[in-house]
Amino acid sequence: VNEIENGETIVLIREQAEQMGRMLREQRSVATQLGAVLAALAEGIVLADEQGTVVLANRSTRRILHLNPSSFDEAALEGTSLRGACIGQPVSTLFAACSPESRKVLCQALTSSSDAAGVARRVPGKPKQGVGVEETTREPASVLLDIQERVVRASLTPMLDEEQQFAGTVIVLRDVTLEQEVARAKNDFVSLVSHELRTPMTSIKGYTDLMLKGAVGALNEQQKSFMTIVKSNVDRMAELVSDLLDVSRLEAGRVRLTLGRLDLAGVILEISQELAETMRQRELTLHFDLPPGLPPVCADRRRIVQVLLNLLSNAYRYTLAGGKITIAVQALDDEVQVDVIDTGIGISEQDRESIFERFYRADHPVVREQAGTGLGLPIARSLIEMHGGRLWVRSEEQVGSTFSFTLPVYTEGPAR
Amino acid sequence: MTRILVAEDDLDIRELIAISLRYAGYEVIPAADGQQAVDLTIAEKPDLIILDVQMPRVSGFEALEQIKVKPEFADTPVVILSAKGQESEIQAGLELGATQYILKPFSPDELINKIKQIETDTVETTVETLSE
Repeated sequence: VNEIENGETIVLIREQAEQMGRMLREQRSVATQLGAVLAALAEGIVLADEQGTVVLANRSTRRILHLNPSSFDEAALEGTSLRGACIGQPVSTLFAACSPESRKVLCQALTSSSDAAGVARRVPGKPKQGVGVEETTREPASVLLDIQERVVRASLTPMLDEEQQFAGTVIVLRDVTLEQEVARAKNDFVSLVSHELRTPMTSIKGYTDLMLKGAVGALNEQQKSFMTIVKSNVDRMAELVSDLLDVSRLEAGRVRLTLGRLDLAGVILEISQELAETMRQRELTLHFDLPPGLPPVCADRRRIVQVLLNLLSNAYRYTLAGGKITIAVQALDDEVQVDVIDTGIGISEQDRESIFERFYRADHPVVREQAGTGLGLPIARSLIEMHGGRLWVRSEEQVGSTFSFTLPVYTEGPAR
Repeated sequence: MTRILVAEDDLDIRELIAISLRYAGYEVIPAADGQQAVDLTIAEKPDLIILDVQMPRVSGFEALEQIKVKPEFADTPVVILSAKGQESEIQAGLELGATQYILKPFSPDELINKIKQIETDTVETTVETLSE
């Protein structure tokens, strides 16, 4: 009986050993595959633990971060990921070639990454099995770093373990110098062209205005009509140049808001006075729904005026004579909502989202009749989103459209 | 009569501004670049200065800086007229001491209205200062 039992035990141990061997081979195979992937990536990958210590860095990291070859002991390569002097060192060691400002930005982003995980830091020494990248819909934190005349984008994603504890950060590094140069060249080109176009436009617009006001003698009706056409076309060109410049700056992230306390009702009434003559000429009536006691909003006055003028000009352009335009403002929880409501031609369902795309203009005879660049609404939406608000449209063909946007309520204390 | 120095290197635009200002009843001192603007400001002591930004020799911003460091012109209103309209450029102009920043293309009426507004504000400020 003992011999039989011993035999069964030996078989069991052999089976267990074989199983473990298979698992080890599989794990080694997976590790080799992952290592090959890491080595093949053009992006640098750095894995830091919860203490901010480098656990792993791939080959591209050395190239992107301009690391001294001695920082990595290539001979000690295990698989294909780099292991060397920097492993076990603080993450900041890897970023020694960065400008001091960039290192500071990265440190802040690392702290934010662990804070963003929304969990307490791990207790040192706690088991780390089952560590995985946080499953989240949130975009990774992204910072730009200056490294010896190169620009590197670092994207930081927090890792959580099975117990949802913060376990470290995955840093993906990408050299974006060329992209930045292309974007800057494009922006400079648009700025140059805009400047060069604005200068001759100043003469055309200015002299036309002078003639129209009779500064150099009275004009007959036909001359006045022709000069008015010149004036309206130069205004259209000025609008196009301005919109192109705005789009270019928004794309390049060069638009800076000057946020402050803003009385929306006051701004709306001010703009309405400017538009009164246009409304009268187009035989439209302008109504207001501005309840008393509206809270101030946190906004850039110049940009909000731009958004309101865009929405109102769309409203009067696409509303036929006899129509009505209403501006309604209401306070929500921590936001204020503005609605620009018209009784115009409306927008078809298929056009409702497309109108927020650059250069898109709805295929409608009234739209084709009106001057426009198709850039106003995308710019308006971007500007409102930069404020932390939203801009959307509801519409029914032949009934009218309501363009709405929200802005955060102004609160005393640090700027939002 | 209010005397206004107009510094603009583009002859057509300089003439346009001069005609518009004279039509509105102002006296005009023309300057073709930033250096002339500084020299004529010191020599003629205008009541208001209009400066283009991009000018040969000395730019509008440099001229503004040189004018504003002189105590006698610290309160002289300066209007920047420029085709450069980025936030950073507008901010730079205002930080250097400009009273207004008008973007090209502008209408002569817009320019005259801004100047009248500055004159009103200056009078109000003077009255407020005197009454303090």
